[in-house]
This record gives sequence, C-alpha cells and structure tokens, in this order.
Amino acid sequence: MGRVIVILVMAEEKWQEADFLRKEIESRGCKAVILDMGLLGNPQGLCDITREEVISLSGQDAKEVALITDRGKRMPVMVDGAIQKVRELYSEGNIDGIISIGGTTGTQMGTSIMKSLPFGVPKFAISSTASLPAFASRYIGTSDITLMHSVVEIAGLDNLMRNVLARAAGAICGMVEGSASVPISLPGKGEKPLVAMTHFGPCEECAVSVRRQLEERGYQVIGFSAAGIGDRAMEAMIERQNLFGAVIDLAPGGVGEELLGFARAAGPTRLEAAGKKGIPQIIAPCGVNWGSPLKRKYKPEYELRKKYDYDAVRTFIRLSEEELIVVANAIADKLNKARGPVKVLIPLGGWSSFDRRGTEFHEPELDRVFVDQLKKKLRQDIEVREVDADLEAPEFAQAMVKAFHEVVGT
Amino acid sequence: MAKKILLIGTLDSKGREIAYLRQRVEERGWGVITLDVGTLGNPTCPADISQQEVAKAGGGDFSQMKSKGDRSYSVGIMIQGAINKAAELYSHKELAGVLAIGGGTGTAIGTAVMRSLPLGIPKVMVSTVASRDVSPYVGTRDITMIHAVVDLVGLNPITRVILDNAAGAIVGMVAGAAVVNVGRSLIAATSFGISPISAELARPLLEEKGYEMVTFHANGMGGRALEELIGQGLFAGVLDFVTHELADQLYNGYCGDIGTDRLATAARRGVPIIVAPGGLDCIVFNSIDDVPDKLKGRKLHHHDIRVAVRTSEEELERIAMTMAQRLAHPRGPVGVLIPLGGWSEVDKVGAALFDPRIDRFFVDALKRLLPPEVSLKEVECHISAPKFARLAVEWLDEMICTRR
Repeated sequence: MGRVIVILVMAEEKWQEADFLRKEIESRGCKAVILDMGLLGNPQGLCDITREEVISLSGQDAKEVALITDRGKRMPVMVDGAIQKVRELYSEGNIDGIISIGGTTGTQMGTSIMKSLPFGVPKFAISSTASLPAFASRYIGTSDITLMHSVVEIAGLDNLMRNVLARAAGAICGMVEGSASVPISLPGKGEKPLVAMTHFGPCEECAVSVRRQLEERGYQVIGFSAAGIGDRAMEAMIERQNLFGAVIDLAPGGVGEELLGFARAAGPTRLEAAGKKGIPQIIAPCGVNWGSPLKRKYKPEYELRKKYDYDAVRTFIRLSEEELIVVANAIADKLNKARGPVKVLIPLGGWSSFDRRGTEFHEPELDRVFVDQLKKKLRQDIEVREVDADLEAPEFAQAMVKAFHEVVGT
Repeated sequence: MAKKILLIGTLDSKGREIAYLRQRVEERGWGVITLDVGTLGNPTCPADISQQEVAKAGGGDFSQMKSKGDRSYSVGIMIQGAINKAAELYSHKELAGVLAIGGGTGTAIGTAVMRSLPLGIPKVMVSTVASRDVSPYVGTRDITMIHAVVDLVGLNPITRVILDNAAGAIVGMVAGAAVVNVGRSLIAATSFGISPISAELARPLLEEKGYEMVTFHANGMGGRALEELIGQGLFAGVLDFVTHELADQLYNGYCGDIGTDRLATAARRGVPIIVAPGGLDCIVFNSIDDVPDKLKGRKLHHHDIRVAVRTSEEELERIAMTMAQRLAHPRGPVGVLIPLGGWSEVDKVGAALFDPRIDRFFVDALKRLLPPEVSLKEVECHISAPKFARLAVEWLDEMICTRR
C-alpha cells in the first residue's frame, strides 16, 4: 500500500478543495484520507473519517454536541476527537504525513491536531492567514509544521487555487517520501547520546567551543535558540520524545523572562523537562542577569537601568536585586525537582559577551546576589561551581565540558 | 537547458547543511544552483554563484564591502545581487523553484529573493524564525515556511529530518506545480467576514458567462495581494465589493495595514473594475480596548472579541477623497456601484450600524469628487441582495466585452 496522508478540512466549507488535493496526492502515488473537522453545516461531499466518528472519539456525548450551536464551543470537541484519531492511525502505522486546508479557524484547528504527532512526521498547513502578523507563531508554536501562504482566499477551485493545491500536494508527497528514506536514527545502546544545547548570541563563542569539543568526542549536539521559541521546543521534545541523553543549558534566561513578562519568555515549564525525565543537565547563566522587556510594556523605571542595545529590535536591561532573587528562587525550585544529576557553573568574570570583566556592564556585586540566593535555595547535592573566567573565555567552555564528562562519562 | 532549483544560503556558516541539501535534491533527479549570500567568512562548500559574483550583481565590490564591515550595508547589497541573479535565471527559463535556509538574516535575504519572483514559482524557506511574526518575510507572496525548530548548525538526526523535508517539499512542488494559466477570463473579487456575500453570489453568475473568480480576503494582507496580482496582469476584471480596509486605515484598525496602492492598481493598469462600498459602514478594532476615545459613544457592533464602530460623515468624506484620488485618470473602465440599503451585515434595516443618512452623505461626496471618467450608479437594495451582485457582474462583463 502507498503511504498515507491525512487531509484535515472543515468539509462544510472547503470539501471541494480537499477533494482536489486528494486527487493530486493520489496522482503522485500516495493514498489520501479526508478527515472532516467541520463545525456547523453539512459536509459538501463524502469524507473518509466522518464528523460523527470524530465527535464520538472526543469522548463527548453526541447528543449533547448536537445541541452546541456556537462554532467556538465545537472547536475543542473536534480538535480532541481528531487528535485521538490521528494518534490511533499513527500507532497502527497508518499515517505518514498530515496536511490541513483552512482560513483562520481551519488552520487553528488543523495545526492543533498536527501538533499531537511526533517531531519528524511531515506536517503541512495551507492557510490564507499564514502571513498575518503574529499568526504564524500561534499556528506553529514549537513544532515542525510547514506553513504555506495560499495568497488567495480558499473559496473555490479557480486556477490560482488549483496551482496552490497542486504545489502543496507535491510538497507533502515529497516530504513523506523523503522522511521514509531517511528516518530519524537515534544512537543505539553503547553509542554516544544526543546532546541538546541552548544558546543565543551573547554566548556564541562558548557554544561553538563546547560543541566542537563534544563533537570531537563523538557526541552529536543539537542547538536550540534561547529566544523563547527554540528553548520551549527543546522542553517539548525532551518531554514527548526520548531523543536526548543530556542537556547543556547555556542560556536559561527564558525562566526569568517568563516570570517578568519579557520578550524571551520560554513558558512556565522551562528548565523542568530534563529534570522530570532524569536526564543530566549542565547549566550556565548566560543572559540570566538581563531582561528584554517588550517595547510596548516599557516602564519609565527601566530607563534608569543599565541597558544594552543588542540589535535594532532587542534591548536588554540589567535585572534589579529583587528580580535576581525572584529568578534565583524559581530556578532553584525547578532544579530541586530534578530526578537526574545537575551541575550549575558560574563564570565570575561576567555572564555574556557584553558584560564580561572590563566592560561597563560588568557588575559582579549584582551577579553575586543571584549566586548566593541560588546556593541558599538549591538542594545540597546540586553543585554550584564557580569558575574564574568570563563565560565566553575558552577556560569556561573547558570547565563546562569537564563537568559534562563528570556526569555523563566520556 | 533543463530548469534547476536555486539554493540560497550563507556558505560560510551553513556550508555543510547546504551541501547536504544539494545532495538530497540531486538524488531526486533535479539540478541545483547554489548561490552564496555569506559575507563573513569563506564558503565551506563550492558555490555555483559566488559571493563575489552576487555582490557585483548587487552593485557592490565584495572585498571593499568586507573591509568596510558594515553588516546592514553588506546584507542590502547581497539581497539586491541575489534578486538580480534570480531574475536573470528566471528570464532565461532556467529557474524551477527556490529553496533557501537561514536564521534571521538568512531568512530576510532568502524571502526577499522569493518575493521578487512571480506567483506560482515554488518557494520554500527553511527558517529558524518561522514561528514568529512572518508577515515581513512572507508578505503577500506564496512562500512556504518550514520551521527549523532547532538551530541549523551541524548535521545530526534532527537537522537531517528538517533538511530532508525541505528537499522533499521543493522537489515535490517543482515536479507537481500546475502552471498558472489564466487566459483572459479570471476575475478577482474581495470578501470579508461581516461584510456582504456579494462575492459568493457573483461566482455562479460569472461562471455562466465563462469566467473564473478568485476571492481575496480584504483583511489588509489580502488587499495588498490583490493589488500586486492585478499589477502582474493576472486578471481580466475586478469586482472590488469590499473596500472596508480604507475605513480601518483611518485609525490603523484591524485591516488597516494596506499601504498606498489599495484600489489604485486596476485604474492605473487599465483593468476594468467595479468598486462598491462593502464594509465602509464601520471601522473594526481588535478589541474594545483599542477603540480610540474619540470614537467612543458611537454605534457599536461586537463581532467576536473584535468590535465594529460606525463611520461618521467626516470620515466617509475622507474616504471618498481617497477613492477619488486613487481612481483618478483611469486607463480603463471604472464603475462605482452603490447599494442604498446598506453596506454590510451590520448595516441594514434593523441592524446595529444602519444609518442611511450618513451613507447618503458619502454618495453625494463621491459624486462631487469622482473624476468624470468614472461613472457612479445607485441601486435600491442592500449590498447582499442577489440583484446587486447581478448588476455588478453584468456591468463588469459589459466593460470587458466592449474592450475586446
């Protein structure tokens, strides 16, 4: 049998387009299955997975659902039911890729459903609202979804729409074939594990050096940008898929940014997944002593602090003593729950490329407030190791690698 | 010469990844042209179009640029150079599709090249910043964004999956792309959530006459896309039922980000167009908190979390002036068709924003301001009435037939 691609569609509105997509997919040798995630109004044609089946899988009573006349209230029912269905198909080996067609509502639901499939299963959304400000982050979040802007409204099979759908069919079929020929290959028993590492601009030298040293030893290092999305993605991948054997968290600033409502906020569970899974963690504090407030939430008081304009869109301000204590408490709470080994390394010569010793931003007394509070709150068996170098110095990268080997082995 | 896939990236920092992509695309039977937009170091894999060549095509000198060390200047030159190189390949019919990978800067460069190419050429951008606000990158174009999830540094089981998906997507797209074949029968129409259903009523009427209709969601981005595609010569005529974006633009409302071309392209290019005042009865805001103090106390409609505020005489006069300016000196037939019974689902007898007196004021202002070449007709019905759609279709058809 050919590989199976599930098409997610609200069949009361866009069945025709789904049917065209089905034919395009099947002309390329894959099998297509239409799942109706429709809300109100009758489907315009036959669907392989009917709305009734989806509702029954949602666990809600069909009679009660029939009484819901509010579109918005039907959405979670259809999303829940469809997630059950695609997970079932996945566990039986009956889904190789997934594609949705929609405007705002259809893309919102379709991408929520796709997110329930593991990293690596091709996921593709055709959306007329892909390019609206801030919509892409809502649709994609931390997952490996591919988003195609349809440009024209998805309302009828005109020539432009057929072109868009044909390209989308080609793309998802191409992805499905590609992912079948190179499946994700994880290291086997006795091989070096995959290492997840967070970093961002101000610790680039450290990241490059740590990566090189570990790669020389045969480890593979997967980088995640600690800008609020990549680091969330790392947490989600640790939580849901057993991919990583260790974590090097160079830039856990997303914890404080989350608490303070700043731009790089990395979600309430940042710094928790590895501990929950018992995976070893080596942690450095790059950027933890800085915050990046959103421009529209700028308080007058921030103007009085030391600030560093990183680029045209990002300005960092120094955190206050009170804020550093709040952040230290939160980090300690999270690490205290860890079921695996944890080491925290503190570079005494500054925590990033722009607040290293000798710069006007180096404020060791302030940094000390954080370190003392962290030590006070952390479990006794979690070591806080102070290193007399700045974070970007080769000595610090070496210290990170040494700590890594102490915990993970060589 | 067989068409190839143009592969764009910084070969200094992402050479390994680009070499891998090339190999994966070639294994599937497509030729690849790599174009190096790196400006920092030396390429770590061979480039078909070198960084020096790109800089030159962008009007710069690579070694000079490098010694200058001004990042934004360098990026500007490389963008221009890459656009010129891509245009050259396209004009020689050597370009099957474009694939690019990058972080923030790489995405800015890759998508700038993609935006410069016509609709229908497959465009795939693998980006670490795909899950942010992509409107500056994608804009009004048919660009597909693949979220890289991880940093595109090094080849490992995670990055290989992302790169394989990208190779699969571009190869699948170029192999399967139906040709955009518009002939002379494609009509563009605008629609909008709370606005009239005129477009849907017009569709079967147009089809009876042998046309096809494409709908644009007049939400700001949709209006921009419409103007661009009119500019590319795709349409035989335009039914611009929903001009609501002009009202939102006055207060930077929900659909207000439309630039200065909205409504102007068809008249400028001589494409027949019918304009109606769909949705000009209201200004829509994201939420009640966004409504300016000045507008508080007006008639209001709660849509979902969004709210629609009734437009005033003074605002409609400004809109009438804008319309008149943008439709001035048309090079083709332009008609304005005004329904006297209301302009949206919330502007009709008994609805929250219904106010025929203000609407009348707008019609009189338009009559006064419109250039003589533009004719204005009034119809005694609501904008969603079948009669209105029929008259619009018949008028447009007449314009198109007369020209032929």
